Formats: sequence, C-alpha cells, structure tokens
Amino acid sequence: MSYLEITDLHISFGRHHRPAVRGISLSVGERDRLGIIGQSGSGKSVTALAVMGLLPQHAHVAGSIRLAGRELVGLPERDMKRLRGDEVSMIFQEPMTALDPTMRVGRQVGEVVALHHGEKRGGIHDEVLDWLGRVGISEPQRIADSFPHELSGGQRQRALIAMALANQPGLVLCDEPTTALDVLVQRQILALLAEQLADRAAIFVSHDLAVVRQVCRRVAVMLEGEIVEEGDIEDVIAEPQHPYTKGLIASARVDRVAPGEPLPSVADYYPGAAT
Amino acid sequence: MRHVTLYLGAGLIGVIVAMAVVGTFWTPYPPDAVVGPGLQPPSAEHWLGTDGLGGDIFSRLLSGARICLLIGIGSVVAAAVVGVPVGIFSGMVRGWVGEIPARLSDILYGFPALLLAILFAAALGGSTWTATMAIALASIPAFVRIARAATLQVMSQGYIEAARVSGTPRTAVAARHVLPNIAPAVGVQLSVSVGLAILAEAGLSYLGLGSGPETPTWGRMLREAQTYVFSAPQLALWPGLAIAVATLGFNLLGDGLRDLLDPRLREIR
Amino acid sequence: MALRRVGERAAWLLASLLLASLLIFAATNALPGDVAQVMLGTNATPGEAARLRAELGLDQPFLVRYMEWIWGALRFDFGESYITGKPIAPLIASRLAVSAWLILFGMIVAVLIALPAGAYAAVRRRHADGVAVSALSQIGLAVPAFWAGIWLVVIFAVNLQWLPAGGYVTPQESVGQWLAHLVLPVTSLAIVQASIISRYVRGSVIEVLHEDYFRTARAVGWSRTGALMRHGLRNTGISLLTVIGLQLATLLVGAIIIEQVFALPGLGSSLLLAVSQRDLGVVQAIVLLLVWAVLAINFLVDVAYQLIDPRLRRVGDDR
Repeated sequence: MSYLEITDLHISFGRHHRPAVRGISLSVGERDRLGIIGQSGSGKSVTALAVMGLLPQHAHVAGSIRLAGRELVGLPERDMKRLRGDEVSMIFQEPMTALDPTMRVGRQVGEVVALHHGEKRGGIHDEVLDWLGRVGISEPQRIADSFPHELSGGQRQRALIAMALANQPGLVLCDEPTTALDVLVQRQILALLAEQLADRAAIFVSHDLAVVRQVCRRVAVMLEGEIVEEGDIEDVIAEPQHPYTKGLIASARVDRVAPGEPLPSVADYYPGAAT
Repeated sequence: MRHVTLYLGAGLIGVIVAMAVVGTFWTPYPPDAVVGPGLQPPSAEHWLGTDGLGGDIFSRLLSGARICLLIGIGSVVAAAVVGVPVGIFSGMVRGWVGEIPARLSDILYGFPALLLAILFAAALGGSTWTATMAIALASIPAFVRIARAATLQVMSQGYIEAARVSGTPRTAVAARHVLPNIAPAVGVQLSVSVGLAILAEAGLSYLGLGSGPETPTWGRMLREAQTYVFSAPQLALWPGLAIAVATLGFNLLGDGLRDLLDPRLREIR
Repeated sequence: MALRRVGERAAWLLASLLLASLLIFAATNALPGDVAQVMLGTNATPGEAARLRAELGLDQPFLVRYMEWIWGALRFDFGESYITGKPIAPLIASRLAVSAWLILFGMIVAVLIALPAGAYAAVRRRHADGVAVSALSQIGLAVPAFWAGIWLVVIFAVNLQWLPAGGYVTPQESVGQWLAHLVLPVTSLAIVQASIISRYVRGSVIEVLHEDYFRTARAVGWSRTGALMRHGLRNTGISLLTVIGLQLATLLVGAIIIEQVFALPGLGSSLLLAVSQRDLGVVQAIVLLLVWAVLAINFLVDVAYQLIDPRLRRVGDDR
C-alpha cells in the first residue's frame, strides 16, 4: 500500500453542495513525487487542502484519504492538528503574505519545531539556523532576526520551505509554490524543492506543466474535479490522450509556432476549458 | 436571510417615523400639559401612565419622536452638506492646500458633540438650536474623512487620469466620476451618523443642555424620570427604549447598506 | 524614517493644541453674552458693568485676552471663577482623579470584555451563538450609557441594595468603598465601549482568519484557537490600539454623562455646574483640558503604533 492513498474522494461546498472534486483516486509512494496539473477551479488545490484537513468549515468531504495507513477523512481535529506540520506539511503560493508580519522569521520557524516536539534541550535556535542554511539562505542569523517585510520574496519562500520541512514530514504538499516569484528565483526554488523533496513523498500542484516536470516523475491532469489523465510525466507529454492535455502541451510549446501563426490555446483542443 | 439587517433597520426606523407622523397630528393628550395626577400606572385613559408632574407619557413619547428625527437627521444632513464638498476638495487638490481641510477636520474630531454643546450652552444658553449646531459640527469630520478617502481612491484610478489628460476640468471630473463613486460610502455614513446624532441629542437633553422643558424630548423625559428612580423606576423604561430603537434602526440600516453596496465588506462587518 | 514622521506628528500636535485652544476661547468669548452683566444681574447700571469689565480685563482686545489666558493655562493657572471667586486650577486638580479613575477602569473593563467577545463572534460568525454575540453588541451600541446606568441603579442599588446608588469615596478613605462606588458607573460606561470595541475586534479577527499567515499557522499544526492566540491577537492588538485612542473622545463624553447619573464629583459634574451658572472661566478651562487630552492621547497612540508595528518601525515611509 502506498504512503498516501486517496480513494473516490468527493468534495463539495456550501448548503447546495456545489461540487469541487468528483470522485478522484490517487496514490503516492513513500519517495514518490506526483504533480497535479489543471486550471484554477479544477479542484487541485482543494484536493491538497483536503489532505491537510484545512478545508473551510462549509466543505463536505466523502471518500477516503489514508496517510501511512491512517484514515484522515473524519479524523478529529485534535488528532489532525498533531499530524499537520509534523507528518504532513504544505507550502503555499503567496510567500509575501504567508508569514506573520509581526514576528521575527527565526521565531516562526522555531515555533514549528517547538509546537510538535516541545522546547527540547534549548537547541531549537541552532536547529532553526541549520534549516535556514539548508534551504539556501546565506546569512541564517541575520534572516532569523529579520521581520518578513525585510526579506525578498525568494527569501520568504525559502523560510516557508524551512518551516514545512523542519519536522521532517513524510509528505509535503506544494501548492503553486513558485507562481508568485520571478523567473530567476523560480528556477532556484524549484531546484531547492527537487533536492529537498528527493527522499520523501510529495504532491506538487501547479497550472504549469514545465514547472511540474522539473520536480515530479508522475503527473495527474485534473479537469472540473476529475482526473482525466495520469501517468509518467514524459509519457504524458509525448503522447497526451485527453484533448485538454493536448491543448495544455501545445500551448506551452510556443517555440514550435511558426511566425505569423496564431498562438495555440487550450480552448483550440478542448473548448470546455475556455476561461 | 439576505439583507436581514437592512430590513430590520428600515423596520425599526419605520416605527419611529410612524410615531413621529402620528404625533404631529394627534396625541391622546397635549404632550406638554399636566393632564392628571402624577405617577399613574398604565390605564385605559393613560396607556403608558403619567409622569411625575402628571403629563401623559404616551403623548410625550409620540411627540418626542418628531424632535428626535428632526434634530438627528437635520444636523447630520447639514454636516454632510458641509463635510462632503470639503472632503472632495481635499482629496482632489494635491499638496498642502488639500491637506489643510483634512487636518482641520482632525482637530474638530477632538471636539465631541457634547463638549461643543457645552461651549455653546455656556456662551448662549442651551437650546434646541445650540444642541443641533453642536451635533452638526461634530458630525462634519466623519464626512470629510470618508469623502476624502473615497476621492483619493477614485482619483488614483486610471480613468480619472485619462479624463484629466484629455482636458476635462477638475470640477467636471469631480461631478462625473467622484460624486457617483463616493455616494455609497456617504450614504452609509449618513445612516451611521444619524444613529450617533440621536444618541448625542438624548445625552444633551438628559444633561439639560438641549431643548428646554417645554419640549418633551426623550432625553429630557429620562432626566425627569431619574428623580423618581427610587419610587417609580418604570418612568425610565419607554423613553430609553425609544432612543435605543431609533439608534439601533439607523445603525442597522447603515450596516445593511454597507453590505448591499460593498459586497467586498460583507464578510467583515 | 519613522523618527522624522514622529517629529512631523509632534509639530502638528502643537499646532492642533494651539488651534483648539483658540477655538475654545473664541467660542466662549466672541459669541454674544456679557459676563459682567451675568455676574451683576439684570438691574446693574451700565457704569457698574463697564467698571467690572475693566476689572476683569474684558475691555482688552480679543487676542490680548487670549494670549493671557493661554499663557496662564500653560502654567496651569486658569484664574478665578467668576461665580465663586476661587482659583480654578485647584478645583480641577481635586476633580481630576475621579474622572481619570472612571475612564481608566471603563476602558480596561471594556477591552477585557470586547477582546474575547469580538474574537468569539468572529470565529463563530456562521453559527447562532456567534451571531447572538454580534447582535448583543449591536444592541449595546444603541443603548444610551446613562439609560443603562439608571437601570443598573434600579436593579443593584434600589432593589438588591448591593451597591451604592451614587456618590464617591476616595481610596484613601476606604479602598473597598471606593471600588463599591465605582462598580456601577464603570459598568455602564464599559457596556457601550465594549460593544463598540468588540465590533472592531470582530472585524479585525475575521480579517486575520482570511490572512495567509493564519493559514500557514494552521498548516504547521496550530489549532484554530492556538493560531488565533499566537498570531491573530498580535495583529489584532496593533489595530486595536488605534481604535482605543479614537474611542477616548467617546469615553470622555460618556464619563461626563455618567458622572451626572451617579453624582460623582468629577470634572464632568464641575463642568455641567459651571455651564448652568454661566461660569465661563471654569467651562473654558475644563473643555480645554479634555480636548487637549484627546489630541495628546491620539498623538501618543499614533507614535506607539509606529513603534509597535515592525513594518513601520524600520521603513517608516513605506506606507
């Protein structure tokens, strides 16, 4: 059995049960990295939040999410919160606003360790600096003593990655972690993630196939709450089956468009996807 | 369930308005006259009983509604008529010229209605007019602030810049773009300010700084009721309830309007 | 830098203090009404009135009289009362403590109620109990403080006879009695304040609940309450400080009325007595003090805000 096993997951919102995820099944092995790709509203982020147990209160979840054999759907909040940040953690899209503006960065990183493992042997300070160094921050001490607004977007995202990894979680969920960053920083952060996630399970949610390709071996394509295609990422790119996937790939290959030709869009291949 | 605050607010205001309309044309007894023995319990002749001096409480209550609305709405509308143009001016004109009205209104903000009313009453003697003037003056800063903030926001939009570049004069820009855009915020503030004004008026009358004894305002009724707090505490019931209903009505109407006009804030308020 | 902004604010504070004093003096002097006539009564001859005016310095030009007044005020010397002939400053000093205690306790109690109530109303805003807390604050906002005070007297002083209906005992005389006499006035003042502040807290906490850093805190393993205590209150507290500063004016006014309800010998009751006697000197002095207090405290809150919010502390010109 895989490390993370999602079976027939249904998620809907509100009194009218507006569906967001319609019966998807996924599995991620212990050192497996799965990309989930799809446009906004396809249900990819909602799926990640469901694994974290962080869906809003008006969400209805049915089906099964098993982490290391343990059922997460319906798990009481007091048990779920012990897993979050320890067994499973998440990296979000907006590094600019994801840190508490009133608290020094080092304290926020250290808090994650202290929260799950107590104020162990006074070594948290060193552990924080160690982690900041491992995520590629060159002056850990200075950054630890800074407030979030004093850091660049890349530095903030590194700090957030340190927070997500600090307790060595078995599963890391990344929700568009590089979308808000500029291209150069994006590449650095992707390299860092590829390196840090190498020995654990990860789900990488993105709308950008090229980004997912740098980190993941497998990919699942989500459309309107369903998985329309899944497989080895190189196979999917070489031989996409679903028209939506074909469109995604064609629109990403701008270099293959002859001058004067209109740019291909997903809608050319899958009209339902028009945004 | 949608717009429930709006309807509730409008309903409560409707009650007060109905009282004011009825009270203008008909009261069971003259509101300012002694019509029977004092401190009577409610009866068929006196629906809510009589006060300490023998006035009919129900008649005085009805007649108080009109004064409450007149002072509350009158003073706030006057404040808006002054404050909104000043705020727009302050928001449209860059540099220190635009800054000055905003700063002056900040100072005025340090003068609550009660202190202004006290100053006026000390110099002129308290009356309905000094109370209304004081409440109006004290209500101005809120309008300056809100009109200025909204104007600044509108002025930073691209289409304003476009209008200016194309040679449209300032006043035309204000009339065409600023006014319609700040109208919702001003509308909400009007309602909220009237609620505050009604409370302020009640406080002034209670302290004897507002209308004279011949005018049965709700605040004054409470002032008189306090004399009998040991023997007839029920006298304090109706006027206070009426003030609370009127204030609640305008506050809810303001909240409801805010929800209606600014869906972005619906979640927050 | 932040320091420059504080300097600017300080300069503006001085200007506002000056302008406010001018306004107060003008309102009580330039308006019609003759102090000498009031003091002598209606049957005084014009000659007597003129002599008294000269004696009081009222025949001097407006600006000269203003300068004399404000110069005295800066040395805490407001001259003598026209009515009692006694110096005004000692009267104010003796009354100040009562009002200060009332306002201080009122604000503390209000914040202690408003913080948990507002946070609860925010977190439970989709549930009946959260909505009920919001509705309660909406009602508290509409109830006049003095009306609440009257009913507190009716219930706790007249019927239950637990607490005194009014009056004041200094803490030097008896701490227990002092507190007993403050309970009802402070409560009536705090009901309204707590309602106002709890609505700000509610709005601010709902904002925090939508913040990305709140989600981050949840994702690293904080419970909703834990994340709110640890990260929400820090951020709410900063904006709450501003609200408390702005509410001070409301609180001062509330205190004046509440002193009247409970017959507390504070600044408010002196002020109202002076108004009824047309004792302009006392009115000017107390109003000046109150307005200056409001302006000064708003200044201090603004400076404190600069110092507390880390985003403003180092890059002051950022926003």
